[in-house]
Parts: sequence; C-alpha cells; structure tokens
Amino acid sequence: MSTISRAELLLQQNKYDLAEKELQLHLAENPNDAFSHAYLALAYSGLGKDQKALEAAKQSVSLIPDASFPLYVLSRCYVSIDNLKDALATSEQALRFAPDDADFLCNHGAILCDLKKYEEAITALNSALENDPEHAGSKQIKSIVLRNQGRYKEADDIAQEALEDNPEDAHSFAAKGWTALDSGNTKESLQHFKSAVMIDPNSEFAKSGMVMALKAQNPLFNLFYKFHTWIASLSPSARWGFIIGIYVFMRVLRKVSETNSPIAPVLGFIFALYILFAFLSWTIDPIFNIFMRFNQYAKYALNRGEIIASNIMAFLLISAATQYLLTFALPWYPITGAIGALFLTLPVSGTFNRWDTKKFIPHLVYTIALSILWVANIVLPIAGNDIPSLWFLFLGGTIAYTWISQMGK
Amino acid sequence: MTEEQLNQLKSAVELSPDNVVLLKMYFNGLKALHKWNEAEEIISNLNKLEPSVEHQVEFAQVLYHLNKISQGVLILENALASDSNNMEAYKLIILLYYKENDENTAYKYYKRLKRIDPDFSDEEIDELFSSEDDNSSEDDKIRLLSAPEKITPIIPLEKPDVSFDDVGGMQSVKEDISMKIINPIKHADLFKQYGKKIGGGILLYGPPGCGKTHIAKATAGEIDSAFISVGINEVMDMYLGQSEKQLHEIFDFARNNTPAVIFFDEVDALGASRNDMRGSAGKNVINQFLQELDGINASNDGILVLGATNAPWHIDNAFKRPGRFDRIIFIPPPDAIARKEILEIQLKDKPKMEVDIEKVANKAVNFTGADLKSLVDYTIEEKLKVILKSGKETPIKTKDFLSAIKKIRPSSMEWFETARNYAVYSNQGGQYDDIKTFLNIK
Ligand SMILES: Nc1ncnc2c1ncn2[C@@H]1O[C@H](COP(=O)(O)OP(=O)(O)OP(=O)(O)O)[C@@H](O)[C@H]1O
Ligand SMILES: [Mg+2]
Repeated sequence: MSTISRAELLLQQNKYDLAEKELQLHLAENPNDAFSHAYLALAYSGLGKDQKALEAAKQSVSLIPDASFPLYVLSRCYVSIDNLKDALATSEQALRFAPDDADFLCNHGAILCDLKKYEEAITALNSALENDPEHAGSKQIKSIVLRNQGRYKEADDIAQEALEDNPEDAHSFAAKGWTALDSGNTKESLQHFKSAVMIDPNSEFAKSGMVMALKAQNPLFNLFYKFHTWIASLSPSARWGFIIGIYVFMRVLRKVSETNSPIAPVLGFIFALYILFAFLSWTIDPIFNIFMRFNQYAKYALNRGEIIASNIMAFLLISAATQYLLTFALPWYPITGAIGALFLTLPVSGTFNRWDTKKFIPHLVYTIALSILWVANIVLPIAGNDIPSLWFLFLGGTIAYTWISQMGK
Repeated sequence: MTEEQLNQLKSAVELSPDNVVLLKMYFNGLKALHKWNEAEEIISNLNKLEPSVEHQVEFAQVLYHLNKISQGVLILENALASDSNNMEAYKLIILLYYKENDENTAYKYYKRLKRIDPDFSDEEIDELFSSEDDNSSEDDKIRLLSAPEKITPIIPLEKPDVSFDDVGGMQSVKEDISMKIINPIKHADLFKQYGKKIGGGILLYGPPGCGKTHIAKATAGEIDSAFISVGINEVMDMYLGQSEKQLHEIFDFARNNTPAVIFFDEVDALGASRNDMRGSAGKNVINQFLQELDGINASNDGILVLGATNAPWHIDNAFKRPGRFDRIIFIPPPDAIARKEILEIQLKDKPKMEVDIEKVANKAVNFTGADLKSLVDYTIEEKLKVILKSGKETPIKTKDFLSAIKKIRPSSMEWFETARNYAVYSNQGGQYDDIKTFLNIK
C-alpha cells in the first residue's frame, strides 16, 4: 500500500527512474501485486520504454482481469505504441467497470480523436467533464478535437477555460496557438506558442506549433498552410474528388495547350503554375525548415526528423541546381540528375512527414530505392549505357508515391 | 479621471504596449472607473512585463471583482509565496475564500495574518470574524483545522568521512561553498565582527552523476557542526504522512544547534512547482518549506540550507527568490583536468595499475563522475575475468581503460537535451545562462 502511494507520488513528480526502482523492489517480494505492475507500466512509459510498459500492463491485467485501473494503463500503453485498435478495446473494458472516471474517459476521448471519430470523442470528453469539471486533460483533448473539426471558436474557448483553471497549462496555450494559426491569426498564434514553450520547452506539441507559426509569418508559406488546412477540412471523398478533379482538369488543359489554339500559351503557363503549386504543396514544409535552421529561436525547436529532412532537402535542391548548370558546361552530362533531384524531394518530404510513426520505415525503404534509381540514371548515361526504361521507372515510381501515400490519409 | 482621459491613455498604450508607466496609469484609470474586464487584461500584461507581488495583488483584486475566485486565489498564493508578510494579499485571499463560502480556509488565513501582525485591523475583515473573536472558540477552531497527529521526527544527522580532497575538479564550487558555508562556521567570530550574517541557501543543479550529492557530503565532512541530510525518502514520507510538522522539527532542530547545515537532496521533490502538485496533498508540505526557509516564526540566523537537484525547472520560482536559495550553482560534467583528478581519486588505493591517467581522462569525453566510476569498475572486472581465465596476474594498462571507454555511453546527454530547451525557451531572468554558456548557445 505505502509502496503504491510512494510510487504514485514519484510518478506525479516525473521521477520515473525512482518510481521504477521503488516498484521493482516491492515486486521482488510481492510478485503478484497487480497494481504495482500497473504503476510500473506507467513508470516505464515515462522513461520511454514502451515495450516493457506494455508487458508490465499485461501482467497487471492478467493478475486481476476485472479491475479497471490496470485495463486503463494497458490501454495507454497501446496508445504509445500506436496500436489504437487494442487501445480502444481495452479502454472500453476499463470503462465498463468504471464508467464515470474522468481519466479513463479522457483517455477514451483521446483514442477516438486519433481514430478521427470526433463526435464520439466529444461525447466521452463531455462526460469526463461532467464528472470532473476541472479535468485539464479532457479540456486539452476536447480543444484538439474541436480544432480538427474546424470549430475554431469553440476550440479556443475550451482552451481558454483550461487556462483559467491553470494559467501554467502549456498545452492549452499551444492549443490556442494552433486554433489561432488555423483561423489565420498568425501573429496571435506565435504569441501563444511562445507562452507555451516558455512554460514547457519540452512539449513537442508546443514546439512544432511555434516552428509552424514562425514559418507562417511568411505569406507564401501561409498560403500553403491555409491550403492544407482547407484540404484537411474536407471529407475524405470530397478530398479525393477535389484531387482527381484538378488532375482531370489539368490533363484537359494540357491537351488544349498542345493544340494551336491562341490561348495555348496562357494555358501552358497555368499548367506550369499548377505543377509548381503541386510540388510546393508537398515540399514547402521541409524547404522552409532549411531556413528555420538559421533562425536562432526556431532552430532548437526542430525535432531530429525535421533536421534530417531539411538537410536532405537542401542537398537535393543544391544538387538539382548544380547539375542543371553542369549540363551547360558538359554537354554529355545528363539532365536526369537535376530533374531526378527535384522529383526526389517529393518522397523525401512524404517519408519524413511520417517520422516517429510506424509507416516511416516502409516509406524510407521506398525512397531509398528511388534514390538508387536516380543515381543509376546519372551514372549509366555517363558510362554510355543509357536505359530509358529505368528513367521511366524512376518517374513513375515517384508519381506513384504521391498517389499511394495519399491513400493512407 | 474622465472617460476622455482614459481614452487618451488607451491610445497611448496601444502605441507603446510595453510602456510600464503608461500601463500603470491606464490601469489605475480603469480601476477608478470600475472597468474590471479591461483592467484584467492590462494588469495581466503588466504582471507579465514586470512580475511583482504588488502587481499580483492588484491582479487578484480585479479578479475578486470579476468573481474569478480560483484564479485569484492561485495568484495570491504565488504572491504570498514570494512575500509571506504581504497584508494586502492576506486580506484579499480571505475575502476571496469568503466569497466562495469557504469560511474554514478564510479563517485559516485570518489566523496566519494575526500571527504575523497581532494588531492588524481592517473593518471589512474584522467584521467577517467578529463573532469568533473570543479566545476559546478560536483555539477550538485551530484544533479542528489541524487534526492532531503523532509525529516522530527523524533528524537524519550525518558525518561522512569524505572531504573536499575526495572531490575532483569543481574548484569554483568549492570556493563558493567555502565562502558561504564553511568559513562562516569556522570563523564565526570574524564574520560577526564584520557584521556578516550567517545564513541563506545554495542550490546546486546539473546533470545526474556529476557530484552534487558527493560535494554536499564532502561539505559535511569539512565542518564540525550539525549537518542534517534530508533525502527523497524522507520527503516522500512527509508527503504521505501529511506531516509538514516534520519539516518544522528539522528546521527547529537546526535552529537549536546553530550553526547548522541542512542539506536537501533532490530538492525538486520538496520545491515542486505548486502547479504540478495542485490539489494534491503535497501542497502543504511545499508551503511549509517556503515558510521555514523564510524563518517566519523563528530566526534562521546561523542556518545554511544546501539543495541539490537535476531538475531545477521543476522547482517553483518562489524558491529561487532572495533569502531562500539565492545562490544557484551549475555543476557541469567535469572537464579533462577534473576528469583526471576524479580518476586519480578513484585509483588512489588500487596498486595494480600502470595507467596514464591523463590519457584516459582526455579520451573519456563527456563522461560524468559517475560514468568514470563505472568505467573504473568495469575495467577492473574485465581484467579480473581475464586473470581468472589465464592465471597470470598482469597489471591494468592504459589500453584496458581505452577499450572500456568505448563500451560506456556518457550518461549526461539526455539531460542536456532537456536542459537546452529550458535554456533557450524558458530562461527567465537568465537563470540558465550557465547552461547556455556551457553548450555554447548565444
Ligand atoms: N567531482 C567528483 N569527484 C569525485 N567523484 C565524483 C565526482 N563527481 C561524481 N563522482 C562520483 O560519482 C558518483 C555519483 O555522483 P553523485 O551521486 O554526487 O551525483 P549527483 O550529481 O548527485 O547525481 P544525481 O543528480 O543523480 O543525484 C559519486 O558517488 C562519486 O563517486
Ligand atoms: Mg544526487
């Protein structure tokens, strides 16, 4: 008993390593103490040992299958390894035993939010808040859900409410920042993010927001940010309709521009603009991160994935430019080098967009395969062994990437 | 103040929103005209620009009028944490609690206020408690508020056998501690003659394993007076037992045995930001700690408080104010020279060594004191394994150490990732400038 309350205190104070020690000592003597296993899982989670956490939580549930707390902990462990399906199932089980627990309901709402089941999430969060009107976590998640639904005003209101409960709530400042950003108040959003980062400089949610807000101060970036929020706000079928519609429209446009019609040059220009727009809508984020690397305030807020991606993007862009110039200096130098570098920015951007998710590795493998093709398409022509089908494989593979990776969204 | 003047002030403030003097004038105008909503915004900004107890109290006053009780209480608690004798703050917090119908808590603060200034009198406040003014009922009330509890104080006294000679590097830290703790105790008379009071607090912070606890113990070894060491376990017990009294006993013991040093290891547990501990039982203990540091009910002359933490950002800013932990010292990982000293200390009584310590120290980049310790342990272990197998007793050579270095990962990297974020984004008042300098961040 006293071990648990000690461990609870240590967890509350983020002293996960001490909590772990305390619990392990206790478990050495009482290996069947289910609740200690559950707390141990929380300690492991805090230390980032997700697999060990999962095992401890499972152990706890197997020791007392009909208690709610171990199930709740297990559900949270599933969340941290991105297994939302099992997370939801265990969360439902936990709620069956304790339907009014605000923490459980909040966790449930968070999972539903991740699954994009926004209405259900709101229901869960509302009942959490009925049971505990000052439940900070529920307010935080609810604000996120509302923002995802495009209900910016309400999202902002609930974040404001959370801040009135606790003026040091970094998450709610960041939530206000994101809603401000999405509703176009870039200046205001930056202020909120700065407050958030000041309170909790280790919050990814706040830091990524701050970088985004800094980038959005640039009108070009802001245009694309608005485009992305707009696209994201469409229903999946509407989004596909839009993408395919634009695609068909552009095909038609191109066909017409190839005829001798007097408006052909104009159409060609529009078509070029479209290509540029499509390219940038994919790559503008990591490209702007290159500039953020030189911004004293932003550079420390980038995560490792963003830093690596911006390095690769810088390399590809510079490489495209130099290889393009090379084709003038050395007539035998293939243009595939420059074009390929530009095309590669697409899968690189898409891959690092998934940094820290399960999809990262498969995307990375695909991108590496494309990169090898790219190099082959430079080296082989120079060696006098041009294989055009390899070049079409590269182009096809890149374009296919943009379509396939859209499907998962 | 007329509406027109107020509007002029408003446009002036809009032009220079960071001008404190203007903001104050505008705020006073708004207050005079009872425009509480606007006043709230202005005072909140003012307090952000220039955080002070005075502004916090003003802020709370506005919140009182806006009926934002819990926010007001929170701000006042903060104000009282930094200035525990602020009568205005007491008055307001009493009124706030009263407004919220929490008479018990209101009364508790009233008692505290009376303790600080028995002659305090204020129409509004006295009226609230007039019926309870006779002494007997007052005592009953106190008894009700603080349930009687048996307390067996643990006074963890310590006299370790390490001294400064056992601490490698840290030259400037040793000097700081000498000046602030050791000399005042050794040469108490001299300090008295020159009118220098003994007291105050030093907070040591830095990555794990760099010798914070170690140097505190060495400090204890350097002096002959009482050295009371309070670790995380004792603190946890206080939380669990709800026994802030225990903390009081510890300080009282020190006060009766001056000069004395009280060392709080992992002090972030005791000085946790009261926001993190909101609603939890630990809050009383934390507030008690603040009170003891201030020596509200008794003098803290001759009491030196030493704290160590590797999470200074979890410590409420209230603890970093003058008179509490007013000297805050960063303990970085050792540089090459310090690493050499630490290795020399650790290899002191180990005869079977033929090691170029300097070379090892140079190669062990980023190693903390604790890392060096495990390096030595690991190397010896590996050597023994070989010897037991071969039967040949060869001495440990430099190359044994060099190959062991590759197997050990420096442990302070993770800490610096967190620390860097605080130094860059949360460096109010330059409190983490030392980390910035260490990491070469402009
Ligand atoms: N400067 C030093 N000189 C000699 N030994 C040292 C030094 N620094 C660290 N050590 C060794 O490393 C061990 C761990 O150090 P210590 O416990 O003091 O670290 P700490 O800074 O208190 O870490 P934590 O933040 O984890 O409490 C000590 O027991 C000591 O043996
Ligand atoms: Mg220590």
